[in-house]
Amino acid sequence: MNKRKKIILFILIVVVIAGGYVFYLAKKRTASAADSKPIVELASIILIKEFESNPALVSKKYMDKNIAVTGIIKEVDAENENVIIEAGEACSINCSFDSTCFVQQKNNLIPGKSASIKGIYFGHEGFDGSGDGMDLIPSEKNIKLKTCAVNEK
Amino acid sequence: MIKKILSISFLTLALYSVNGQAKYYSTKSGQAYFDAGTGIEDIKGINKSTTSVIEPSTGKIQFSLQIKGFEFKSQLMQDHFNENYMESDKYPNSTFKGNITNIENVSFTKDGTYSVTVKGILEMHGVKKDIETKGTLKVSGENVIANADFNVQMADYKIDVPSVVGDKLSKTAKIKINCTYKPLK
Repeated sequence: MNKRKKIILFILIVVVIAGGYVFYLAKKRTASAADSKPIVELASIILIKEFESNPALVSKKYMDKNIAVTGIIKEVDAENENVIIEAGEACSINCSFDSTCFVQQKNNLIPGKSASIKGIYFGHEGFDGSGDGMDLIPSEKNIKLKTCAVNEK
Repeated sequence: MIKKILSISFLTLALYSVNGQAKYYSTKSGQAYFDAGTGIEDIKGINKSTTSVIEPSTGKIQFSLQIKGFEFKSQLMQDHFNENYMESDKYPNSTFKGNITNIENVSFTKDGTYSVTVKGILEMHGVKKDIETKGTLKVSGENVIANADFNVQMADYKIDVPSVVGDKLSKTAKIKINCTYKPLK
C-alpha cells in the first residue's frame, strides 16, 4: 500500500469514527435517575433546611444531580405520574416519575407511608423570597426532582 | 381550644365561596409540552411539574414552571434546549399570569366541558409578551382539567435559532398545556 492510499484509509477511518460518535451522541437517551445511584440520601426535612441555609449555593451543588429523599408520601397523582413528599409546614418535595418506573412501582407508593425516592434535581420554588413567580396564593417551599424512581437500597 | 376551632372553621369557610366552589384550584403536576420540531427532526419536550392556580371568582389563572424540568428523549437535544436556546441557567423560570375572560360561562359545580379564552402575559427567556389563546376547562367532580394549545415565535422571546440548525428547529414553538386541578385545601 502506497503512502497516498494509507492517508485516504486513515481519513476514512477518522470520518467513520467521528460519524459514529456524532450518531451516538444524537441518539443517546436522556439520563434517568433510575439508571444511576444518588450522590446523597437525605430526609426531606433535612433537605429543606439545607436549602433554607443558602438556596443559591445548595441549588448549584445539586443541580442536574441524582439525589434521594426520604419522607412521608403526601400525594400520589397517578395520571401525571407525580408524587409529593411531605417536608414540614408548607414545604414539599415534588417528584416527577420516570414513566416506566412509575408503572412498575406505583403499588408501593402509598400516601401516608414513608418512601425513599431518587430523582434528578432541577429547581426550587419559595426560597430566597423569589417565590414561584405567581402571586395569587402564597408559594410553598418546594424542591423539584424529575425522572424519579423508588430508591431501592 | 374554642378559638382554635373557630379559626380553623373560618379558614375553611374562607377557602370555599358560598355556592360550594373552591376559592382556588391548584396543581403542582401540570403538564406543559414544547414542540419545535420540523419534518427533519422531532424536537419535543415535556414538563410534568408545572405549578398552576385558578381563582374561579375572578377568572385569574397563573402558571409557573422551571425550564430545566423539560424532558426530551435525546440527552443532546435536552442539553441544546437548556444551554443554547433557553439559557436555563440565566432564565430558570417561565411564568404566565392572566385571566379567563369568559369565566362567567364556567360552572365549577356542574360537570361539563367549557370553552374558555385566556389572555395574559407569558414570560419566557426573560421576555414578557401578551398572548391570547382558546382552550377548555373540563369540570369533573371536584377536579378541573385545563387544556390549551398555542404557538410562540422564538424571535419574540429573543431565542436565537442558529442558521446551522435552522432546518431542524422550527422558528415557531407549539406549546400545549394539560393540567388537572384540585380544590386548594
